[in-house]
Amino acid sequence: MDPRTHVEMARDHVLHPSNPDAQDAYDFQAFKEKFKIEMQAIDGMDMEFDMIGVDAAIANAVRRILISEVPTMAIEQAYIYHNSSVLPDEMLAHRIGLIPLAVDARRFRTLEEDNNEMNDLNTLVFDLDVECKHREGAKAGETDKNKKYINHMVMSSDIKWQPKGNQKDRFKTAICPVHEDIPIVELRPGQRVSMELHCSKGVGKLHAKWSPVATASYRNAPHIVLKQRVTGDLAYRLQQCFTDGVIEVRDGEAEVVNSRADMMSREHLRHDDLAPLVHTTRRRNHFIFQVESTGALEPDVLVCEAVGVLKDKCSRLLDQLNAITGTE
Amino acid sequence: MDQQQDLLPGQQVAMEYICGSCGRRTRIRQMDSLACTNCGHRILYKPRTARPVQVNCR
Repeated sequence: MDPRTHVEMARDHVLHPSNPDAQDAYDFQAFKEKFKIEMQAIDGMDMEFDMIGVDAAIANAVRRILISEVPTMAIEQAYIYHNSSVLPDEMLAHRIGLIPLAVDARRFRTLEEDNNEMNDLNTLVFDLDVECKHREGAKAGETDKNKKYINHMVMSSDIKWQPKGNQKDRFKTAICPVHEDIPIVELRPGQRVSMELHCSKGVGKLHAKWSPVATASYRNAPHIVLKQRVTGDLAYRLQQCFTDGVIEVRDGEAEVVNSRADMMSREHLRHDDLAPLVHTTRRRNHFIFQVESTGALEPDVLVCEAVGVLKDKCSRLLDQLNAITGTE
Repeated sequence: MDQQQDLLPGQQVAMEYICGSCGRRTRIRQMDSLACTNCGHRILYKPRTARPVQVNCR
């Protein structure tokens, strides 16, 4: 296998992890010819796509920007009027801050852009007021909390949007948390939680609550080649060494049908008779990205935003370089 | 305590406390004995401030 294009997965180490014959000089035309994005699957908030023909540096930059630099909206300040629940104010506020909100942050400004002055373009206001009571007419000895109490659990659906300024006209549908069934805190009769929540725009590197993705990761595409024909009992044993669906036995002969699905356990290398039959490598410039959005924006939109952030960073760097060298 | 700053000398204000035993709110002035007016329990708790508390959600 060509060490320039493939990383070899040996038994206890990775062979030639970096390209021994790297062409580091950037050539836009060459990049354009090689670069490819292949959408594999998009299902609601989950997405898998292939980024082919880029260096790990660029793939990793996109991944890191997705996690920490694509802005979202999250609850940042809580003004607590009542909290007689079992959770202290700080812990309650922390839990509430982590609730993902279904808002497009591109329609908002950051507080810094407005000199930290709150207005309807940089802040969303929510109210949360829940009081637990005994339910009238509940049987004595009732154990079902739903029948015994009213509001025994504060849920994310209790967070109510309070439109300010012209927000009511800008947002036709009410803004709410992505999931309405997140438990926040349990209450018992007489306990009350009442607060005003202020939500602002931020990025994941300030706090994970602003991260727009639950996971954004990539792996290099597995590449599995049989070096010789594998038949009989050996074929079935080889099949067992790989993730389901990677190797199929057809007419008594093993065949690689979907090397992409392999999780690279390298189990076959532990068997002396199987180890020499297969060559397991990963493609150096083929990244299988997995992006799972927290729900504010679709994962494909998030990736485009991340690339936009990367572009902004590059142009800022160019401006600075030009300022130093004095060129236009 | 803010309430007392506006008072003339000699005037007193009744402070509200929560009884540690019966849980009822009881008003106690400066010279009153330190006990719940309802049940006589001698442990009283200060209620939470009436003002909103600002907390950073992090």
